[in-house]
Amino acid sequence: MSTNMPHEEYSDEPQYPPIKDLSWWGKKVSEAEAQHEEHMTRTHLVNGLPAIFNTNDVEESAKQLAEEVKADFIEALAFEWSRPADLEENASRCEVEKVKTQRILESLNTIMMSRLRRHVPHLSSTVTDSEPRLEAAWRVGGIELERKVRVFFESRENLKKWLDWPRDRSIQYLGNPVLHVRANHPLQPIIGDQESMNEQLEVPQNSLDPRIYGNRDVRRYMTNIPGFWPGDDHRFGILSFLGRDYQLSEIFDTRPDEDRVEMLHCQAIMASFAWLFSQACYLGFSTYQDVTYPLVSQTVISNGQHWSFYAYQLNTTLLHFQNTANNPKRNVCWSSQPVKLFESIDNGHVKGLNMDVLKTLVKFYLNEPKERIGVNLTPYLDPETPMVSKIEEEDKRVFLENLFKKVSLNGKKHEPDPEYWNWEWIYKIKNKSRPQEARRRPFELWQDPWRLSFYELSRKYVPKARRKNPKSNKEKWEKTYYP
Amino acid sequence: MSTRWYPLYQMGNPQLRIFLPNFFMKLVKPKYSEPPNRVTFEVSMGMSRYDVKNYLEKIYKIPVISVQTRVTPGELKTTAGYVTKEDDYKTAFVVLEKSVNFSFPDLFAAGLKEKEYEKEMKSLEATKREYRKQQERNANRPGLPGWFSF
Repeated sequence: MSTNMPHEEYSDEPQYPPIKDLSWWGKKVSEAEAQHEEHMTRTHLVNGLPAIFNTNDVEESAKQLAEEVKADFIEALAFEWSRPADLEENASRCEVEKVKTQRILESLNTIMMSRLRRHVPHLSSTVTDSEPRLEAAWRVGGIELERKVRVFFESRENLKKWLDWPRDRSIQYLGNPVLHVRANHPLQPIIGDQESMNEQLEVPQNSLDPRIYGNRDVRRYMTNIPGFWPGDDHRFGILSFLGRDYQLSEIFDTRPDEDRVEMLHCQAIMASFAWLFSQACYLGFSTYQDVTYPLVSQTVISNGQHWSFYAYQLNTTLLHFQNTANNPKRNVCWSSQPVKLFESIDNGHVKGLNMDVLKTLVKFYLNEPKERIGVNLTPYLDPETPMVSKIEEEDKRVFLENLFKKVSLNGKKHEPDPEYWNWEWIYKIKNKSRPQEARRRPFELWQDPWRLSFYELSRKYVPKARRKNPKSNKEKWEKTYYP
Repeated sequence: MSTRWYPLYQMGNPQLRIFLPNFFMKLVKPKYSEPPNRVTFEVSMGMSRYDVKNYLEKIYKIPVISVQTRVTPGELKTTAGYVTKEDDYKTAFVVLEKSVNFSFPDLFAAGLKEKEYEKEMKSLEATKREYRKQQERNANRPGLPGWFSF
């Protein structure tokens, strides 16, 4: 029997709250998710890329550079496209596509970087991550109460007034991008503060439980990892490449094209938001500390043949409690329809090449990240010790580093999860029919085994040999430096 | 259409007719808030997701996008000292086209339910009062049957 121990709804410091796992592996694909995603991230979706990509200068340079890059680009594309995937015989279409996508995008990115470097100086100071680890976690308000919580509240008079209060849910996003390109400076914002508060940029409200869309409750530490560790100079993402292998799964076989396009939009919104949000966390912002300046990222979803381009501006990270309805700022995602780069590739010859796609890709590389003058990039971080590694006190530094590693690892516990047997559920918990037995189990002793034991919560014992003053009792317990 | 085993088709056999199929689908009110294009059914335990999808598509001509099923074990109760279990049931969450808006209708008008409830409570209170009066009258003759009178 799986563990489903009742635990108190209210506690002073909830530890490891159960959270919804939104891993975007694309295997569990559900309908009507666009509204849900937009609500989760407070995003307004715009059709068409922003005007900054269509100015005359950008058009001309993109056209010129696209012609330059074309030959090498096509050669690499044809080579990688024709190369077999070398997987097992019974590998699914999605797995094959995934391997091919990764190879194609990596080689194309290398070509673009090496050829454009001469003309586009900022590319020399970028860093490319291959298959980086992208995790982001935040809290969203305005979600309906879970049913069992609703039943509990309805049974108590003093809790009835909280029935319709918007509730927060913790969301964890686990992504699997193909490539990340990072730079020292952030991209320029696309729209100003005033426009980001424009009420006409509607954000759909969807208060349904995320579990309806196939997301699961998971117990893990909430982690925000944008693909690199803190301390990296290149802490602003400028371009990310995502794969679309899930579109080959069976569920899309009978669906119209609009559903496929909508799935791409959802994927882009979530991936862009998650990447920018985790970068913002490294800069000192969070769900409860709003970003003081907008962050921008560009996303490309492709499998080599079909390409979609997205630009995302993160204006706000306040999403909890009533902010889903009341926060004037909103995030904006500019999207494009998926376009074919080529019709087919036969014997290394690319047929029906669409230069517009190549031009748009070049425009994304041309977008220069500039230093934000006069803006404090980390207003909420202590200027002397913005990172744990800068802390001089050794005990504190070691403690915090170990804590960070433990949390970001999300490792398995060495002890098994608490559980009870089926017969115990039937004869001891649900129908108390065995009063003659000795009470030894946690549910008979009013203990909640999911709560951390006193031993775990309490500080560690320091043996006398390791104390600075062996005879002192004051140094008996290890000091903790929880932030 | 049914979980029974039917004879394999051979060339020349007549059209197979299935009598008394043991597949059923019952439309129920969802316990949780659902998106407008999701409908909840209680289905026979022998039905799989593909069976539910085919049932709706072939018989009722409703295009179905996906189906999620869940088996809920029956409640365990104690009656007369014995622990008994109700039957398990399977719930199917059927996702229809996005343009479809379905909401389970209100079968009972709200106001009517309250009135009926008040009526029943009133009659219950009256019965209680009568019972208490009768007890008081027969306080010094406990255990006497109600039909006994002087």
